[in-house]
Amino acid sequence: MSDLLHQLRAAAWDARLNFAPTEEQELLTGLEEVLVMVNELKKELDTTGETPLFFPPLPLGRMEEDRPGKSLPREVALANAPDAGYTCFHVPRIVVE
Amino acid sequence: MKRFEPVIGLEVHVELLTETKLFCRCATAFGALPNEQVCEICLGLPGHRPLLNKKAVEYAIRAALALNCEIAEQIDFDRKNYFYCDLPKGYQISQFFNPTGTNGYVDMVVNGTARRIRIRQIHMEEDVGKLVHQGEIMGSATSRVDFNRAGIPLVEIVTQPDLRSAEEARIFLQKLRTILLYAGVSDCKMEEGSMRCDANVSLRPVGSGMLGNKTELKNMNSFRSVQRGIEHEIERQEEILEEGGHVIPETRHFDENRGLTRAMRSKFQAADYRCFPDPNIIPVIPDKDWVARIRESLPEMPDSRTARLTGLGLPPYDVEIITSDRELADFYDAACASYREAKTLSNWIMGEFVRLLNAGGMKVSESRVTPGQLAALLALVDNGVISGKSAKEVFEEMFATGKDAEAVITEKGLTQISDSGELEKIANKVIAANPAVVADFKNGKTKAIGFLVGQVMKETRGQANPQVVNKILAEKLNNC
Amino acid sequence: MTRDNLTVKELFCLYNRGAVTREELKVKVPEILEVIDNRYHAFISRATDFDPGVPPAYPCVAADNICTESLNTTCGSEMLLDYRSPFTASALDKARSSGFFLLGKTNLDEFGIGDCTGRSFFKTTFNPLSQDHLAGSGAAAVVAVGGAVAGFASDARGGLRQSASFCGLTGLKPTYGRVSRRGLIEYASSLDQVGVITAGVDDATFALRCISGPDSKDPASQESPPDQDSTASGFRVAVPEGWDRVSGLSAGVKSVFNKTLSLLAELKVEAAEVPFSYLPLVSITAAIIGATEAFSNLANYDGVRFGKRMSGDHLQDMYVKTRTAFFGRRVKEFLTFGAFVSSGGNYREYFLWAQQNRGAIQRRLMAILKDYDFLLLPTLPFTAPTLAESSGLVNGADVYTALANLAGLPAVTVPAGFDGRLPVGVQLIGRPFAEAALLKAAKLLEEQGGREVVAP
Ligand SMILES: [Zn+2]
Repeated sequence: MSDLLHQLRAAAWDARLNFAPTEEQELLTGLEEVLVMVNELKKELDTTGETPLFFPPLPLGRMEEDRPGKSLPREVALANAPDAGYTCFHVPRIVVE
Repeated sequence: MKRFEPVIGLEVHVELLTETKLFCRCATAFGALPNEQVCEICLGLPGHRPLLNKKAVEYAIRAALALNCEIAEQIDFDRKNYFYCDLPKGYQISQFFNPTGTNGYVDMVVNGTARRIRIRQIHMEEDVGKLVHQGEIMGSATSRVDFNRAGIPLVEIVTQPDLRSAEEARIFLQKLRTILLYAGVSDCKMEEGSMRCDANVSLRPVGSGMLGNKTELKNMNSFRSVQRGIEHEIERQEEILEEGGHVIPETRHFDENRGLTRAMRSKFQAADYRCFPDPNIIPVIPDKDWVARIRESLPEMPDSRTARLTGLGLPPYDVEIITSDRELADFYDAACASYREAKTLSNWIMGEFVRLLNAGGMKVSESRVTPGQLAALLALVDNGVISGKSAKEVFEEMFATGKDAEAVITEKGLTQISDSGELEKIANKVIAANPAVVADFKNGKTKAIGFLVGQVMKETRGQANPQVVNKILAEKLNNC
Repeated sequence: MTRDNLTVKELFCLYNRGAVTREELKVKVPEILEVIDNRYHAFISRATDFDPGVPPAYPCVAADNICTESLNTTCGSEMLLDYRSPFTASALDKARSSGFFLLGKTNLDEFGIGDCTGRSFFKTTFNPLSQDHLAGSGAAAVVAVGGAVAGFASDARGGLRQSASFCGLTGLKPTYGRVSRRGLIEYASSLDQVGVITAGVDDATFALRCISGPDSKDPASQESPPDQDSTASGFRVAVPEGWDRVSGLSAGVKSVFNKTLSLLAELKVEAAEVPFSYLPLVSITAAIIGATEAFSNLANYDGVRFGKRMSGDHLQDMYVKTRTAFFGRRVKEFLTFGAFVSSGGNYREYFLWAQQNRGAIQRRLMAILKDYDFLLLPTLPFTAPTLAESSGLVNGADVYTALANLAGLPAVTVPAGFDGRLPVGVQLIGRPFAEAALLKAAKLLEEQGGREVVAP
């Protein structure tokens, strides 16, 4: 297994996704093309000294006062859950080890 | 001589005492029914936007200042991405790149030696939800999830690996708790989970600067269990190294009942958190004035109080007891402002006051007696108005009712008789009624005076000042 | 003109003037929408009650990734089939209080992730101007046929402007922070912004005024600064060099853009080419950032609190089965790409590199905008695609539009001509919070360019 395929599978797992073999192959090909392009771009344009910008600059962030507000009624909170009881969300068993 | 020395660092999570969550205004109050304190934000519903709690930021800065940290110039947040059912959004909002506080320290004394433990950082993060199981976590076919706790603000305090024994780790944790209680940012209850401690433990050859493989130790739910857990882990690693083996870097759980640590191996590979700045949280700049105000509002910290109380001449034991609880120390200081006998005051506070508090399961703040009232009572004892013995009875009544000492004394008729004219009459009566005892005294049995004092006290129903009675009797016996 | 041929927009116009009764409106509007939907596949859900209340009322639609309490919000995904949000997006609340009446929720690329083809789990929207081609979004198709005055939608890498351009419409992406994003189910938080698609600049100006401003529930939303006084005739326009060397640029788009440049020259508007070396970085940079944020933003689709669930042997198995079953392939590829470029081993190489690119691009754009009022670019290198024209991970449709998203700048596309039967848009990018000036300039282009914009 190529290193790239290995990384791709790790990424898919980290996104909790699974690809059929043909889908995986197509994605791998697409990814290879993108990475070739990135390498070309890096040769043409060097931005390694640039300060990264993680979101557009905004003048100020705001904070809220610590005063309790309204929570959702529990039946509303649970209404969209695919599996829930009267009080809690239900999840399948948790496997460790 | 041991060949290896332990190198221990702690990661301590502490719940902040805010009324609402870190990024929403759901209440944090303990004891609600499951999923009653949740909203679109803390459930991570599509389209939600986090709303940063100012008080949480203030408390984090407060804690950082109390731990002598440098405060970040900008408060920002990052996402730590992983999937787990107690984590609503699929990421936890934390401060990965730019913690609120860095480079702090905690000073402490271990077996008479001063130790400074460096604090690497203190940062805010969201708590996760709670899994409710019927029976064992691994056994149940389904788990139920309650998100009331999800989003409650925590600070994580990370030490440098400066601790050298399990005992030191326990003492550090207790000191940390005292400091945070002083700062008023958390109630630090390990049993209730508002303070949680993980330990990174490794061993290295004595004198070596290298670090060995470390294990991360979890599930220690009390100060005692922190010390025991680390002790067991050190022993386990020692045995491995003595036999020439290698310590596997892993996460281990302390099993309190069996007194051993167990590896928690996940079937899944270690998570790659991909931390990056949360694009939905615009950074805030804590302005200098605000930080200065927070700093000024901090009470005097335990170390400074310890030095001051020691300076008053209190023995180390008293200082430790009184400073271990900020409210108790405040009570002491307030009483001390109007009553100067430092040791007498500490005896009363550590003795009667704490005894009555404990008996009633009360906190200092719940006491009806004020420091000023205690100081006034002790002054009355010093001035001979009442005896030390009846003062205890008076104090009990004051504690129960919140009344002033004078009022209680008057009500109970406990005023001590120090008037020598009154006492002389009684003394004459007692001497006249006990010629045999007087004769014994004259024959050199000086202890016989004790009986006569007792008789005077009996006549006055205990209200006579014994010192005055003693003096009067001695004068009379020597002169007749 | 008989009333039978009236559009929804025209019916509401008459209603506002008292010339159409509420009862007539309540009967006719749903009939017309039904026809639009059958013809172009534009809606995911339509309102059930068409009583617009007291006039004036302005009919609008919203892309189905904007939360509404009254209608489901699916993001065009099977994952959110039947999902009803417990709250309504702040922008739509504001719009409603200004008189906008929501007719329905429109089709979009699943979660807005795609190459602006308007393909969701449910349907593919066709272009009213040419049924062989795609509309890019349901909102654009509805507005194009007079089904609504405004289509509120999101613009992360340019999707809103692209679909407006495909359908010969005005598309406005406001400054990052101008409009509350609360209730927008965005895939890329740092790029996305709620904007509006309208038939012309005036409608866009009106709609923007109705939805902008600070929202206590979105701390990124800002008080709009007072509009700078700018006379539309006195502006200077910068054209980033290299715009015509973009791969995939069609001859038709190039020629319309050149015509726009000559038109500006006629109007004595100074338009100069300025040095700008970063165009080749735009698509890949926006893709890396968008995919990483999507990977994180869409991690809440885990089958626990909402959305669909596929049963699994255990918790982690349930996650994989659920996400694999209910996300579309394009979304899955994008999320995996996001996980790949931000992994521990690749973080610096790709994710951080992209953020450095964004820093370089934003600073360069701000420097240009010191000397010039606007940047002028084509909206896309090509016109509306056909269904057969699919594309890979990075297809370059956003080479011009994503510039504005990366830097958080306001941008507007207006139709400038045709390539065959298909409209071609040009795009103006302005200074932060200078939407007033931007829209004035766009209005000038619309009026002048309008002479050319007559469908063959
Ligand atoms: Zn909440």
